[in-house]
Amino acid sequence: MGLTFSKIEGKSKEFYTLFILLSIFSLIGFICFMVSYISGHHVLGSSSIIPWGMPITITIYFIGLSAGSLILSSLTYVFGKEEYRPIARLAVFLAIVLIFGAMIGIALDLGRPEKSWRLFMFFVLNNMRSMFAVNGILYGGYFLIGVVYLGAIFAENYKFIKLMGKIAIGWAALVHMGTGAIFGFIATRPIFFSPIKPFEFLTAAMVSGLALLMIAVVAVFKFTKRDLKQELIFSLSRLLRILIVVLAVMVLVDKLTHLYSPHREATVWLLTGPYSWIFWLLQVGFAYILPLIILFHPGYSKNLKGVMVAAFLVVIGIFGERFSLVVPGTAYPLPLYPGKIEGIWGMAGSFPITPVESFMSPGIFTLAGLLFLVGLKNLELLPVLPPPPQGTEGKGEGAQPAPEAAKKT
Amino acid sequence: MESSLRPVVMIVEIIVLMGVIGSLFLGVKLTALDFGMEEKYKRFLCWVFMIMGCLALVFFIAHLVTFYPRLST
Repeated sequence: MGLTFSKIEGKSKEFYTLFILLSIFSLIGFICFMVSYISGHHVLGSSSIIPWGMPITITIYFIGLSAGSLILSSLTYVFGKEEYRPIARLAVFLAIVLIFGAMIGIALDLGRPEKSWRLFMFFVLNNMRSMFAVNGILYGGYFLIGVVYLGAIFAENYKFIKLMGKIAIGWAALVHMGTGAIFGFIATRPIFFSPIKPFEFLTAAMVSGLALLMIAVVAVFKFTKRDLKQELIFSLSRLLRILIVVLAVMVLVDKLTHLYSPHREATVWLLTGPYSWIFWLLQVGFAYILPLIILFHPGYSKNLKGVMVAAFLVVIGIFGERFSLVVPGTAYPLPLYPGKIEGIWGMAGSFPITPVESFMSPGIFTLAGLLFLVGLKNLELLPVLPPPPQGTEGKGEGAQPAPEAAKKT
Repeated sequence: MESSLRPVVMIVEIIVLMGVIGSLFLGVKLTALDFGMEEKYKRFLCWVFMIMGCLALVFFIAHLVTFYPRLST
């Protein structure tokens, strides 16, 4: 409870450079959105056959990162693991930023974002038997719960923090399981359809959220010249490897079930077809095998650089997992006419990487990065520095702005 | 309406819409302060509203370019 928190000063050349770079990329992303709005969704590579492209991939990826990050913040605020307190505030804030990024992704995918209010007309304009409508409640509630949770943390209302923490964990789990259910409950899409999808999504969320949190913590602490206890990252990496094993087993079970005769064509196509490299290289290679080799290696698992490489691979690999679900899942033809090929509807769709989409997608990431940076500069998210050694006062981002700005929690 | 006037009226409409959005954000800020949000978080809120305002601006431009009536054609 004795830990104090502060914001970063945010006056260094590096801070402004990063801020300007993120702003420029976000602006380019905005312009690409304008092009897609004016010209139509085809400029994003989407089509009647593959209606869900990169914005939906990014959305479910961000939702996963966010839910994972929020669940991990509960290690301190709900389960009382004091050793994770220095990064708990950062985890909650990161979760809010990422769910905001996910909402932007959904708005971009809608094509007509001005109609997004209809998503929230529960029981009036929505078919509440649709998983999309149910998820509207989950996403909206999640954002509000996250904001109230962070507010309670800043207000140091410990009883309320614990209560909100418990609600937040449950809601975050529902959010990602609900997202998994969107895919898992679509019976007409053989690659999506699976009762295990909600649990697979929840585990993937915790894996990717934890990996991103580790990267964010190490980067921010290093950039602000804060003292990071490496054991904290190593203990998180031990948790990460367990979660990766659980996720890999779930995916294995899911694919083996789908490979069982008679309806195996779609999964065989996923594993051997044009998108198979995404599944094998990004999902299996980057998200499971390589990180597990590193995290179980006696040398690399106790080396910060090794753990960071593993975390980066996981973050990239889980993005590959999302992509290899969304795009091949919709590209595979619907079984409308079993046993027959009927024109274009019997062929697998293709997803071209277009220039507009290539610039718009990074814009969503940089916008989230920009919000994160603004939060670091204006909110007390980071633990206070230990006293600097003589002769180095005031250097770097970590310089504390004022003693009164630091808060106990 | 002459087509040459279209960009002008669109700009006027964007100014009006951004005024509405700005008022809405100001209202949210005042409500948050009334509900006990500390003054030191005002700056963060302003930054968030500025970023969201940019998003709204981009959307309004795209929307008006696409849907504003072309009465002369």
